[in-house]
Amino acid sequence: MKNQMSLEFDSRSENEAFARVVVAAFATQLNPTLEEIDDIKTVVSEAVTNAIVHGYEQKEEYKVFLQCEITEQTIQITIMDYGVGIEDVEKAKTPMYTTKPYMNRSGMGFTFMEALMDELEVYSKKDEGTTVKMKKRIEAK
Amino acid sequence: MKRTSYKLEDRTLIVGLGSELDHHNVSIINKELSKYLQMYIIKNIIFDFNDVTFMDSSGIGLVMGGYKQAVLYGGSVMLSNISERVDRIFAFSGVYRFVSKVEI
Repeated sequence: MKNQMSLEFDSRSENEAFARVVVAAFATQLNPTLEEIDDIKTVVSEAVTNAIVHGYEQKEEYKVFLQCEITEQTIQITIMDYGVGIEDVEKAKTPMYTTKPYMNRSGMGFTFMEALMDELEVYSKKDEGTTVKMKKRIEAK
Repeated sequence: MKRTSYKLEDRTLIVGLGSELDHHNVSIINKELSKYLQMYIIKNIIFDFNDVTFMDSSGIGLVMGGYKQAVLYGGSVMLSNISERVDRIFAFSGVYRFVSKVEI
């Protein structure tokens, strides 16, 4: 089976919940466990929050792009922004590293994405934006 | 969706967290929390997770932010009604080095 969907929405923090619920609903066709659904909701929330808080620096007039693709038992989730980009992706992935400690950000976003998904790829260029691509295999039940 | 509630008992602030702990809601809670910390003499903070159905890494930021405030007043932060999933997230990220669980 192959199935695809894409979505764009404003870079407002209200849309963090919207995005994770949409992806969770799309993923239900793979018959995931509740835990797998929670994993998917968490990583979408992390990536969309990064786009809004870091990519667009909380300016609300920009767009976040979300694309999901199901191929057999694997869901691929791509989240993209045209924001400020990440200068050093490896550093950004370090657990507890955050550029915004005064905002009480934990610096655990990428760590969660790595831990909860099977694959994580991050493409970023300064002043051009960031693309986060994640894959998770949902075993057939 | 359940909203966050605040209850002051002696010098302990009990924060009854709402259902979804993401960046959006945690930003609101942080603002409300700092208002309480300015208005009242608060030593300890208890975050009650009873109604929490979703939490991402923003929840870690919230708890650690509360901890940074509480230690300034010689107080502590405690967590109650932690679900199995939230417990795993906190254990994984090392939060229990700074805060402990409590039954309320």
